[in-house]
Amino acid sequence: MSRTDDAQAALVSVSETESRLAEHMEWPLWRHAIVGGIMGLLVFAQTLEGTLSLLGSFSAVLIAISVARADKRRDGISVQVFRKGRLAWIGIGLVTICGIAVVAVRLMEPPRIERPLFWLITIGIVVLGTALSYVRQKLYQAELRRGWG
Amino acid sequence: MSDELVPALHAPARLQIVSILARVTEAEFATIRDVVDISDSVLSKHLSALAVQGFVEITKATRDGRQHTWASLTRTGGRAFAQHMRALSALAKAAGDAAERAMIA
Repeated sequence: MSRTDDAQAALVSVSETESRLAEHMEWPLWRHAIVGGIMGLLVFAQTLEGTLSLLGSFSAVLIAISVARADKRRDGISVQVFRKGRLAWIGIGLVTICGIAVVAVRLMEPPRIERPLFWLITIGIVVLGTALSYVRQKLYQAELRRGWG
Repeated sequence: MSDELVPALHAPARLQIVSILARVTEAEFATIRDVVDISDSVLSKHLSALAVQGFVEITKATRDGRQHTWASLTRTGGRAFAQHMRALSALAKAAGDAAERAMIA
C-alpha cells in the first residue's frame, strides 16, 4: 500500500471514529428538558422572599452541577459548556437569556407570581432552555460528523 | 513549509484515540474502548505510549469502589494531532491532484 493510500485510510478512520462519537453523544429529550427546568427554577426562585430566593437560586446551581456530574458518569465523556466555536455561543446564549429573565422578574412589582408576564417569562425560559440544549447537541454532533479541519 | 507526519500517531488505533480526545475535554477508558472498538489491553498500551510522549494526561478516580481511568489531550498532543492531520490531508490532496492530472493527460 502506498503512502498516499495510508494517508487516505487514516483520514477515513478518523472520520468514522468521529461519526461513532457523534452517535454516542445522543441525549434523550428529558435530559434537554432538565436544562429548561433548571433555568425555570432559577427564574421562579426570584419570586421568593429574602433568604428563600437565595436558597432557591443556590439549589438551581447545585442541581446544574449534579446533572453535569451525572452526565460525565453516564456518558464517560465531558465536553466544556463554552467549548470554542458555535457551541460557545449557545452556552453564552443560555447564560445571557437566563440572566435577562432573572433581572426582568426581579424588576417586577410583587406579587410577581400573580402577573401573567412572569408566567410567560418562566414558561418561555423553560422552552427556550430545552430547545437550546437540543440545538447544542445537534450542533456538536454535526461538528463531529463534518470531520476534522 | 509543509507539515510532517508525527511518528507517534502512525498507528491507526492511536490516531483514533487521539481524534476522540481532540473533540472532548475528558473521556473515560471504557468509552474510548467502545468507540474505537479495541480491547482493554490494546487501549491501555496506546494510552501509556501517548502519555510517555506527553500527548495525553491520564487520571484515575475511584467511584463505587471501582477505579476509573480518564484521559485528556495535552496542548502538545493537540498540536501534534493537528500537525499530523494537516500532513495526512496534504498527502491525500496531492494524490487526488496527481490522479486528476493523469486523467486530463
